[in-house]
Amino acid sequence: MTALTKLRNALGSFIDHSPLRWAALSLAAATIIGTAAHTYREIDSELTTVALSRREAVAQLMAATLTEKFGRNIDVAISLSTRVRFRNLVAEEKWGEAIEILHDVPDDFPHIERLFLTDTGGTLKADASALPGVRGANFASRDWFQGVSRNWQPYVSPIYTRAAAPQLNVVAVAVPVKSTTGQVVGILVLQIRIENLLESVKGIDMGAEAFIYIVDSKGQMAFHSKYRDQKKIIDLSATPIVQKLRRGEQGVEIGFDALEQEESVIAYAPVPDYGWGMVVQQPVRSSLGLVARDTLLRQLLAGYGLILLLGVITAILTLRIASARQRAESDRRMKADLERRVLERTAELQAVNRELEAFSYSVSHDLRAPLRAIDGFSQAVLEDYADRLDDQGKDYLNRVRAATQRMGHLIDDMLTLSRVTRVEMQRGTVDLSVLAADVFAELQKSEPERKVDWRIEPGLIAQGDAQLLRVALVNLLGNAWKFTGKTANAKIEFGAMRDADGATDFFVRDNGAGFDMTYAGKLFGAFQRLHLTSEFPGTGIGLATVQRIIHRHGGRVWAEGAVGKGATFYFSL
Amino acid sequence: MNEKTILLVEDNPDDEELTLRALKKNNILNQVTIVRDGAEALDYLFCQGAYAGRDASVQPAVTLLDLKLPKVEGLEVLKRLRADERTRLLPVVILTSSKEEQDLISGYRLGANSYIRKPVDFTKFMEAVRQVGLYWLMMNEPPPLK
Repeated sequence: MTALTKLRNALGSFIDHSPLRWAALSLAAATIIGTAAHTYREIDSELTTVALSRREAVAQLMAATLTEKFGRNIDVAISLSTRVRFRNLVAEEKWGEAIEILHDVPDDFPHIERLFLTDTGGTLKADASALPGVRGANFASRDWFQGVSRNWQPYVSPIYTRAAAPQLNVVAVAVPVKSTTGQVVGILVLQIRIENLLESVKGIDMGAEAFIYIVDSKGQMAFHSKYRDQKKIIDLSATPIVQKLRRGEQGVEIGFDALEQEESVIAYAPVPDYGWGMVVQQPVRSSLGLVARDTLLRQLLAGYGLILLLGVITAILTLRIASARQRAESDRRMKADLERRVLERTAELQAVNRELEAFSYSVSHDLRAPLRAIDGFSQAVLEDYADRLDDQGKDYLNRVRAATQRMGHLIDDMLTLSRVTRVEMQRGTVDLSVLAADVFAELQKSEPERKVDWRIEPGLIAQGDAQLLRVALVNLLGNAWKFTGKTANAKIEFGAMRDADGATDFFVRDNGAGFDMTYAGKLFGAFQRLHLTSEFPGTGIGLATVQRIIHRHGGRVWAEGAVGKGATFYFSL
Repeated sequence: MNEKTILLVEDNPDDEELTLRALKKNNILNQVTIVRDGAEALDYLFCQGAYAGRDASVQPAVTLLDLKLPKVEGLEVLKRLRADERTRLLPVVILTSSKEEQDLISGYRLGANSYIRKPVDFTKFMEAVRQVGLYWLMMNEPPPLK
């Protein structure tokens, strides 16, 4: 039997035998499972909330950083453009001298790629560091020029690919240069690479596989942390997130990202004042901390599972111990009960036996006394008054005497029958051959004139009560003796043979009157006789006595015979 | 020889008559004293009660004791006789209908000198009485009286 089957059986018997306990156990298990499920959901939603709000915070932090950076650059540009000497030089159109003043700026501010000066019409007049082929070029069509020249206010442009080689994607911070009288005399432009602005936020842990991208005021992708070397400027203005950003909305949502082709957590925050936007994105599978969460939840579930399992095992063990104890207790009680009943029954039997003995005693005394009187006085009449009785009278009295004597035999045989039933068995080794020879000797003595051919197989040893077995042999051999009384060359044999099972069957065989097998069933009943008393005298109790003795030895007795051909009585012990 | 008396303890008048007849038929003409229950038997033998005046030096040569008796049972009578120094050696022949083994064993253990079963067949009874009479009245020397 497998452990599983055992467990199932144990559970089955548990449910069958202790429905209340089973209910209690189920309730406990349900509570544990319920608590586990609740905890799971709580943790799940908490983890989700945490994950989402964390992304949103990152997006806001990024956006704030960008706002600050833009502001700083505008401040730098304004402070540069308002230097007195610089503005005077610009006003005097001394472009080369003016730019010379700002020569060290790109070194001092590493995020500033380069800077240049244009006149108020957008024609580049000087640049630092100087690049070939751009001085004198007109950039009036550039967004930054349109932006700054609109109200002559500082302006941060969307991303664009600059003209000067190497053609980097840059952002222009453009501020008007005003003369001391307040007249716009030129434009100072700082070219900035976005990634340089984000150096300071590189350390922020956005989470596994997370990336950010920056959308400029035209809805173009200005920077993508995953695709830093992207040369082509991609227009994202049609995407829902960018549209929300351009409307100044901020938030976090889970959606399908077409570019990454997977479910992502998208947190977005606008960069106020500049119309830009910041997006922090992470695949759902990693963003919600699924790995960590799964580990956590798995541990949680494993923990609860373990508690549940331990609970069930404890319950089953407790139950098994309890039921074993109960069984032992009921066994003990049953045994005590049995013992008590055996004692009671024994006492009853002893009482019955005592009664039976008293009854037998009475029978042997009280029934025999009148018979003795009848026989005795009949004899007295025959002796003392013989001269006054005719032959018929004497015959009648002789019949009275014969009848009383026959009744005496009946009483004796009945007493023998009852004695073999109730007498205590004294088991021992009995030599049946010796016993049979002894019985034969007695029979021969009772009728010395008879000639019978006896054959007794020597050394037939059996286990049993010598007294009872003697009574059995007296009856069996006595019967053989009796029923061969009218047979010439009478033969009686006592022997043994092995039956099919290897057990020993003893037998008494004679060649006497035999019996009709039709009535074999009646042979062993008390008072059953198959012969006339006048033919073969007897009380019909002998074989019943034999059967009782053999049965008391746990054996079997049966007979075979045919009318006129003798009989064989078998018995086993 | 005739001074050897027989005490017959018998409550059944039929058995009493038949026993007396059997004795007579066997030419045992000794005096037979008859008592009808165990108590009377004890009174007689111990010369007490109704027999207080009896000569204690004259005891029966043999007591034929029935077992099933009114008042005091035959075996109880035997027990008391054997417990008393005066009657300890008194010849007692148990004469009864019972051949129950228990009676036999008890009878011998209590010191019965003989045990004769009264057969239904009167002829056999006669023979048994003859043998008892022959042995106890003619062969056996009575024990010295104390």
